[in-house]
Amino acid sequence: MIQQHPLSRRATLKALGAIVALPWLESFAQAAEVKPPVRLGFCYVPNGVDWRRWHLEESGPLQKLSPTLSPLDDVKQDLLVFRNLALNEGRDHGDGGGDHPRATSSFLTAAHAYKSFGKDIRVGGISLDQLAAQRRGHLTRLPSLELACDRPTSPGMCDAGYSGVYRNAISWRTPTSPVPTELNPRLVFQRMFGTNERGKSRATSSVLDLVMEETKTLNGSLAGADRRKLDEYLYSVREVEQQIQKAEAFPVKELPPGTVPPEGIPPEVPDHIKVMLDLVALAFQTDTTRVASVMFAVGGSDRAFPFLGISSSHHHYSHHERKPENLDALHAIDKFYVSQFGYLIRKLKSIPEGAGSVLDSCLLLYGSPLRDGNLHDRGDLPILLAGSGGGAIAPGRAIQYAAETPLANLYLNMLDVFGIQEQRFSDSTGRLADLRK
Amino acid sequence: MRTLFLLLIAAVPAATAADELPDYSSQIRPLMQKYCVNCHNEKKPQGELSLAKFTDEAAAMQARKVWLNVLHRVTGREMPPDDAPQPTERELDLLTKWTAGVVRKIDDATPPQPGRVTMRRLNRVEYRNTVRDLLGIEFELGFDPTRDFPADGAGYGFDNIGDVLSISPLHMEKYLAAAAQLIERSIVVDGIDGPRVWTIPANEVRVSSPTKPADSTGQWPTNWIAEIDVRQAGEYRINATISSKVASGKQAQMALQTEGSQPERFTFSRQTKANVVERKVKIVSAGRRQFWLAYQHEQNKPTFESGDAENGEIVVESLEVSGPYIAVDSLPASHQRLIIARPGPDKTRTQAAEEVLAAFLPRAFRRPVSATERQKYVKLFAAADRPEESFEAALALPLKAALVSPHFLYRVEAEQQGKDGSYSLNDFELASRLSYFLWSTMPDDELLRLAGEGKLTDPAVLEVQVMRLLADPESRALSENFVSQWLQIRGLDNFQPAAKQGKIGTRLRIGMASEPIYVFHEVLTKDQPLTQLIDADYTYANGDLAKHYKLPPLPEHEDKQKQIEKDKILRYSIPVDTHRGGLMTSAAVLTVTSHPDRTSPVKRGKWVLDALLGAPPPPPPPEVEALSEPTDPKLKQSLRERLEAHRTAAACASCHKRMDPLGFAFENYDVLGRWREKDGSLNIDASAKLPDGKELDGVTGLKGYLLTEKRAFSKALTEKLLTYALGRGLEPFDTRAVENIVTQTQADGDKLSRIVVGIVLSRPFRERSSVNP
Repeated sequence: MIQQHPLSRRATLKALGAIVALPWLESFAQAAEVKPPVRLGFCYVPNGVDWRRWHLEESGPLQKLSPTLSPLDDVKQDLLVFRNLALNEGRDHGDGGGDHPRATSSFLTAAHAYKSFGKDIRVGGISLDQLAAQRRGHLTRLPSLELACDRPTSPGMCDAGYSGVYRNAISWRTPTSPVPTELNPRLVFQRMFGTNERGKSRATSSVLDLVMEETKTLNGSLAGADRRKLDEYLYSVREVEQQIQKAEAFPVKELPPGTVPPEGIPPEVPDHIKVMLDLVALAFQTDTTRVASVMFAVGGSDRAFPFLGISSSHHHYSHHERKPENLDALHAIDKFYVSQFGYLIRKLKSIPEGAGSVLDSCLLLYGSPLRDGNLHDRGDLPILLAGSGGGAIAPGRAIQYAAETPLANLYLNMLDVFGIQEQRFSDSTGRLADLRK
Repeated sequence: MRTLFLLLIAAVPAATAADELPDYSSQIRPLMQKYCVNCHNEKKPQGELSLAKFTDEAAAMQARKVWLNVLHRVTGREMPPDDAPQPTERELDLLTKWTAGVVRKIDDATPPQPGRVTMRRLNRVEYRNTVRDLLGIEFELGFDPTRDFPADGAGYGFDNIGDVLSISPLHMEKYLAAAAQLIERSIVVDGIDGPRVWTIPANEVRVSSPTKPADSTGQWPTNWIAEIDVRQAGEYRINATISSKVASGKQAQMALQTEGSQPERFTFSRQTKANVVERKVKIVSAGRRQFWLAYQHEQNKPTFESGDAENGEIVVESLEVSGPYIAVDSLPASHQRLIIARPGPDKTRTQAAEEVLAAFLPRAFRRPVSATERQKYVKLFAAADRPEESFEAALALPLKAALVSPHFLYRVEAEQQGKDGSYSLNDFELASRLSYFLWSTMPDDELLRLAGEGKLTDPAVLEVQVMRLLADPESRALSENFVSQWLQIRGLDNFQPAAKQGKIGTRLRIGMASEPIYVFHEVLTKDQPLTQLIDADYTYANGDLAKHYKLPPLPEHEDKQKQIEKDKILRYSIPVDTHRGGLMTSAAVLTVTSHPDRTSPVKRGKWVLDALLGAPPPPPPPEVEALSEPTDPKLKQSLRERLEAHRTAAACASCHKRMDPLGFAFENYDVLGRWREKDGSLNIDASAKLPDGKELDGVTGLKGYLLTEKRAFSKALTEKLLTYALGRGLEPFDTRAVENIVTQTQADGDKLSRIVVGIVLSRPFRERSSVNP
């Protein structure tokens, strides 16, 4: 193995420092005692939960966890459990049925989806992760990662009048542009650590220059929605061009020992989720990005769980009708997903950084935009937060807020910790108190 | 007896003339006050429908959707609910007449317009087919650059809807990568003028050894590696010049190798001088590749220690790699098709490039390309051109650029200044619409030629072209892509039945997914009436599906059943009592409308309403269950509360009254669509009663019923096909075009192909509204 000399690497980066911020380096931190950057992670689960076995009655320091949260017992000191956070904009507001697409697109936007089967797709605002990526993405090789462990589904003709795009994405770059998710771990790894050969990236840039020029000419002969489509295209071209430049500015770091590039999509769901979470951890550890979201499944997911010994699908059980057998199956699924979150927490905790672990610098949001799939309600959502964002919040507690406190209030706090000061985020009414204790 | 579906689906009884419209204020509004607004009021509109706000006809004229809904519900006898006061026959007649009439009046008052299709990005299927035809390459196992494209968004049930097909940086990355792979596959960029030779003298050969790095002391490396930028896949040769001095009785084993190839071994057992060993290797894709000479360990034990004077030594004098070895007379067809000119004595490299691009770009952009546009691509070639490299190497760049150009990735329809708010598409835009509709790919040479001659806008020519394209095997693309989405059977891929229901093996899954497509394709291309889709006397199955259905063996194969290839999809005549024939009894449909562990009459009924009758029930009200949360029985509910609960139940009932009976007719089919007489120990009851009192007995009854509702079915199918053909959702102003096509098709013997012709000749297909009509 080729030996790397940390100091000489640092010197190289310093030379670039005038134009490019320093990527985070473990050795550098130890030398200079610089605080690791804050990272934001988001784990989305569809269909709500078996609320009775999820929720905690008592506020204050976490003692005994609920049955659903019990897989997190060993990391409860890193956990905040919320009560009464709500997504009011996920409610129908007179739009009628279609809870799953509406809920999914409201999760990180806290905004309302415009009911459309295809024309004028839009939500009321951009998502939290994309806002963070747009403001701080220039500091890392990739602005953000959008991952999923489930194939996007086509809802057929009747998803209550919503196009499938609403249930297949939680990240919205603009109110009209959902961000597609990447499912293939091999390709995520390639995105994170792929190297550009100099000649090749120059050739690619010349191709991009040409098509950008074409786009300008073409724009003149288009009108209406066609122009918006072309804007989307132009944005994508520019973004790829920037990535090429960034790939040169942020050279690939030496990967942690033992890193094995993943293969394609594992056939078994638990393996797929695990490898995606490994990639999130690796991305944070190497400071490849500071913002990552993972959809454990798409909205309204019909995933089957033969490996849990239950026969029907998540969505089916989520409409439990209070039947004990349905609730038991749903509980098993809830617990399974919570365990995956536990895996991510433990993984990040196992990676030393500064005086502690990578987890310390993180704020990891876990939850569902529905409380109970049988009711499709939006109040008192199942929401967890792990990590302390570099000591900015004090985990290890359950906090109960007033009923119908907007989830967006928490999003404002998260943005604060991430270093972005916003007056409002969607329907926020202020910041959550007591996060620091 | 009222005929439920004729009214329900065709929506507007043909005979109602606007002048016979009952008076809204004096006749209709009082009726609604009497029977409807108790629940459907402004304060707490049940089903989110308020009928109180329409104070006069002018207000009513603004709400087409509302009246269509009211018409469906009232004529279907779903509303008012059973335990509410019922209108008399005369009142009902008046309501029906008015709602039907007002919808028609609204349609008549809507200015006709062709509508605007938003510029469509090629979806994954279209992209695949287009590059296949443009470049002349085949996708095969292990080669599919589109495999990792993000999933295409769907709208209105289809994945070719312009509004929903977005593009993101992730798409762009993948398009760039795919373009590189595709061009690399299509043209040969190196070795045409002879193989390239890389000679690596011993001191530049990279050596690697886990234990003993090479140095000047004569220590031995384990591997001698040559790293080379391979520009072109193909055959390469690697040879090494080796001198050896091996002690008597000892052996040294070496191997020449490249990534992914088996080592070819050479054994040295004595003294040789400047011995050249050579082997041929195949490189499958361009990139930085390693070729190496390996010191072989036998069973992990070296036959002698390198540099061990006692045993001997080996000296590698040089490594040489050459290639690619290209047989110029057998260049791939794609190369020959694309590279129509090469530089020569009377042609500069730029001139040759210009010739190639002048032929390529119009096909890539599916329209003539101006010299100005072309020049940008020629410039790109010139900038990349290096005299020491091949002509093709530089040409690859503009070819790749074309594959990520907006003119290639989008089906651009240029804005025109229209007369009366709309304009006709030009010949080339029409050629693309036609080709992507029927073949899901770019227009072929004949379409482009006709477009170039300006003939395609002629309806007669257009009709001949529709029939030509339908007769071509490529039209299977329409059957595949349309049917799988229309019938919503793409979900079959992910359907996992519960263990007790049995398994769907790969071949059965393929058979299931193929059956409806094959049936549709036969009806379409053999000019059969569309009623065959409801009840055909034939079907298609592969070995596993035939077994699944318990189909009797085919006569021609009876003697040699075993020899039937199980994979092959064959046509079966359907004897009576096999319970098959038509799309709705296909295992694919019956499976995707089931839960993993039981059948779902609700889903199946909804499917019939949606796919076959074009009248999908509205979605369940939001947070529906919240209202039906069981209240504590110890608490006494107020009358009001009980009424609330009742109304909620009624709101559910009104739709389920329509869905459930249709679904129960399928109860003889299990989760995987197999025929059954019993469900567990219980006998199956597949009888059903429609809301209007009509009784159906099982699927045979349902089929008979649907056949009497042929027009409704024809209309539903036309609407779906038109949506797919246009790539946009239908609007009220499209009603006229749909009705015309349905009527015309009926006059032409209800042939499915006539619907396709009707769509292509229709105004929404051939014209476009200006942005501000």
